[in-house]
Amino acid sequence: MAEPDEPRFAPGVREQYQRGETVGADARQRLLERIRRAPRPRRRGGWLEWVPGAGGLTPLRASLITAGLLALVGGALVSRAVGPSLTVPSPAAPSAAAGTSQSMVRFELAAPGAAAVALVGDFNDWDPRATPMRRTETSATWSVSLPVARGRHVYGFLVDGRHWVPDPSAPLAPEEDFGSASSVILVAGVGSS
Amino acid sequence: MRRLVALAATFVCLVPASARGADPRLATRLDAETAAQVQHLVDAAQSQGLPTEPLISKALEGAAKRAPVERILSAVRAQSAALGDARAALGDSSSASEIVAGAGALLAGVARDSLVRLRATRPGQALVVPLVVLADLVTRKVPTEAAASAVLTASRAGAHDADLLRMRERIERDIAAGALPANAAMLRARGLMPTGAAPGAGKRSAVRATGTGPP
Repeated sequence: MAEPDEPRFAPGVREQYQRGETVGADARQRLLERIRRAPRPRRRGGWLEWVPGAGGLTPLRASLITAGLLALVGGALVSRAVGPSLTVPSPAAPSAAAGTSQSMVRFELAAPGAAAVALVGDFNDWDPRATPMRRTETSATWSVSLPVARGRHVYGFLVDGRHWVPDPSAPLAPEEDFGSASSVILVAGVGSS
Repeated sequence: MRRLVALAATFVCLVPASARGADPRLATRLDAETAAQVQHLVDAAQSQGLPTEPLISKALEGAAKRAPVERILSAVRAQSAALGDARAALGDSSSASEIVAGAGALLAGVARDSLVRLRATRPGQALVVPLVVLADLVTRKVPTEAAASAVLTASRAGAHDADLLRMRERIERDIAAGALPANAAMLRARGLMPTGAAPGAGKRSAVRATGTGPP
C-alpha cells in the first residue's frame, strides 16, 4: 500500500542520501591507526578451513584432503569386506567319508579387504594359528578344507587376527559366552544307526 | 639327601595338584594362574566322572577370544554344570558322548525334562544323534518345546539316527524356504510316522503329550 505523502517527501530523502557523509582527513587517519593497532583476528580452527574456498587451498591442504578421502574410502571398503552382511555364504557341506569318523568340510568366507583369515573352532582347539585360510583365485573369498569329526561343532573366523566373524551361511551358536558370536555346524553321520 | 627329599616333599605339598598336572594346552594358552584355576575345575569334573574335554575347549575358546579371566572361569563352570545336569537327566550309565551332546542341548536352551523323556523313549539306545539334532533345531530357531516334541515324536515313531538326520536336513531346507521353524519341525516329524499313523491315529497321543500337537 502506497503512502499518500510519498511524492512530497521522496525528493528530500533522495537528496539527503545522495549528498553522502564527508569525513575529515584527521578522522580517517585516526580510524586507520586504530585498525593497524587492533589485534589480528584468530583463524577459525573448524573443519571449514579444510574446504577449498573457505580458507584457501594450499598444496599441503590438498594432500591432506586427498589422504583423508582415501582413508575414508579405504575404511569403508574394509568394513564392508569383513562385515557379515556382505559375506558370501559358504557351502560348508560336509562330504561324508564312509567308514570314518571324520568328514571333509570346506569353509569359506568372503573378506576381500582382509590380509589374513583363520578358521578357529573347537575342532582345532580354538587355536588361531592352526588353520589359516587361503585366498581363492577371485581374491575375494577365503577358504579351507579340513577333516572334522562328526558331531556338532562351534567355530568362527578370525579376520586379520582381531575381528571375530561368524559364518554367514551357518546358524549362530546359542551360547555366546565371550561376547563374540560363533557359528554351529553339524557334521552329519554322528554314530548313525 | 634328607634335606633334598624334604624340599621336594614341601614343593609337592605347596604346589596345587591342578598346577602340577595342568593340561599342556591350558598351560600354553592361558596365564599360569588362570590355567591352574581352570585345571582345578577340570579335575573336579573328572573326579565326578564327567567328560572334561568340553571344559578345556571352553577355556581355550575364551583364551582365543581374549576374554577376561572371570568370564572364562564362569563359562567353564557353566559348561561343567551342564554336563552334570545332562548326566543326571540321561542316567548314570550314559556314555561320555551322550553327556556332551546332552550338555550341548541344555546350553542351547532345551529343558532338562526333554532329555529325561528322550531317554525313556529310546531305552538302551544311543542318544547322541537325537540330542545333537535337538540342539541343532534349537540353533535354527525352532522353539525348544517344538524341537523337543519333533525329536520325541520321531523317536516314538521308531525313527533311526539316519532318519533323524534326514529330518533335520529337511527342516533346515523348509526354514530356508520360508517355513516357520516350529511348523517345519512338526510337519517333518509327522512325516516320519508310519503310514496310517496320521493325527487322529495311535501316534497322536505322543504328539499331544508334548503340548504342541493338533487340537
